[in-house]
Amino acid sequence: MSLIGSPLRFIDQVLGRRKQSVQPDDPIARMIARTAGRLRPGHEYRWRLRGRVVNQYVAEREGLVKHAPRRPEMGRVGRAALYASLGLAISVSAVGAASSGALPGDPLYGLKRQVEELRMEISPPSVRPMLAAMAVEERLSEVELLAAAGSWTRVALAEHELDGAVATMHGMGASLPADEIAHLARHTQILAELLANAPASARAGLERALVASAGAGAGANQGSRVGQENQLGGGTGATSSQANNGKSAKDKPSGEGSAVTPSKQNPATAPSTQPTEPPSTPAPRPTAPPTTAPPTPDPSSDPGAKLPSHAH
Amino acid sequence: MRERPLEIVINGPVADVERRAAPAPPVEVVTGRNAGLDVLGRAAAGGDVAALGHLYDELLGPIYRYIALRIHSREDAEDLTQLVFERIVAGLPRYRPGSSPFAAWVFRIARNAVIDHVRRERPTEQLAPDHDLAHGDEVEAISLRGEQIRELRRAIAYLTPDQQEAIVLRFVAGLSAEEAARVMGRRAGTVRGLTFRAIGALRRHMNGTES
Repeated sequence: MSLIGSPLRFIDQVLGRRKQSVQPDDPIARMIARTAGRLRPGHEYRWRLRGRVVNQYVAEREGLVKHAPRRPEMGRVGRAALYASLGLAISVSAVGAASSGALPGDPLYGLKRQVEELRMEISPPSVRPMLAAMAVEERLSEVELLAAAGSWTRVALAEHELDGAVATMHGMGASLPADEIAHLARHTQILAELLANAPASARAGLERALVASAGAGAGANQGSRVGQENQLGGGTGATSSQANNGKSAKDKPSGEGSAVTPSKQNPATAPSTQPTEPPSTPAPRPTAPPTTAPPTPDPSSDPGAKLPSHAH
Repeated sequence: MRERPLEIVINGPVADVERRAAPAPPVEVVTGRNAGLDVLGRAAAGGDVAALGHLYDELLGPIYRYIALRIHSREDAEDLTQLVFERIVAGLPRYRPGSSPFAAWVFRIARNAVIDHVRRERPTEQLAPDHDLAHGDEVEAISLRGEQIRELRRAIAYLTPDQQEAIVLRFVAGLSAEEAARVMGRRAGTVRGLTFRAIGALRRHMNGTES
């Protein structure tokens, strides 16, 4: 680099940079940003990934990972101790995969519930209603899987967990997005079908689950009491009411009636969004048919039967 | 004047995190709108779970868009986005605030993930019209917006790889020229030049003229 060339090159560089700057209001640049802005992940994907990310973060910090990050300050002794413990450590993915498929009565089910509760505790209040709704969905899925496998004793356990999850969701008193209400409606349909084929001894438990499912959706959809009115009328009434509620809510313009406003739609708002409507009074729990004892297991069912895997 | 086509404004969450954050070592002062991300990144690296949640809320959209514009399959874009966040979380203990702006650090991870994916995978087929859109859109809107996105992809494909990268980092991910330069391992002036030439090429392509 010559002494003469450097200043000239510097001047060229400065002039070149000024010539080659793109103005913020450049129409091409704005078009790119606007068009690319239409690429966005689905709502359910967004929330499920959020839970997974938070879970991983907590697990990493709690040391539940197979590969701990190398830290320069660890030292030889510290690193030797870490490597010695790797054989006993469980990976985040192993914990997540093993426990996420656990069903009531499985050894890892307690861990699964603890992870969910920890996620709820550490999440901002604005996302807790959605987490509660996801928990209700998860409990409903557990009931469905156990009922489909004929494990009626465990269905009772799952129904008990479902009651708690629905109560938690109602206690938060926030409204849910239309797609989440639609998810709950689908579970109501599935439970109604299972109820139609369930043995008499198991009907009471499934009816309670169906009532809870319909009540969860009705409570989430403000002002709607149709699900509660149909709670004891079998699957059809509750199913259609919930489906209609989900469908009508889904027809609304995006964002209307939604408790969560994506931050990118309004950059001025904080990421922890506020409900668009004032929280409603939680709907009263629907009255379930009296059940004094868990349903007796169907002798034809095999409690030891392998259950279908329940993975996200 | 900084050339920032997209704003990432963080208000309350950053204030909350700053109140809770422990005293941090002196860091490079980063001016501009991504300074909020730096604060959250530092807090998350220090164990603040709420800060991590805010980071996720702010970065999911830009990361997903950056990946989805390069990867034509929605499933692959979602998988890669998840992979990027997993690597972000795993790498947080190693993140040093003074070494790089947090946004640049994050998109370096995303860029490497996309490069690895493209090397492994064959080019995918044309994506479906409703691939990229949120729930509830009308069929006509789906077709129109999907076509616009495909048109953008076709236009960007005419650029050189470096120009594509510069354009996507600047106007899709919303990075400044300095941050994009960190991601690409180039000088900020080079990134500005790439951006300028890319815009010119796109304008000529859209006007139907040959360079």
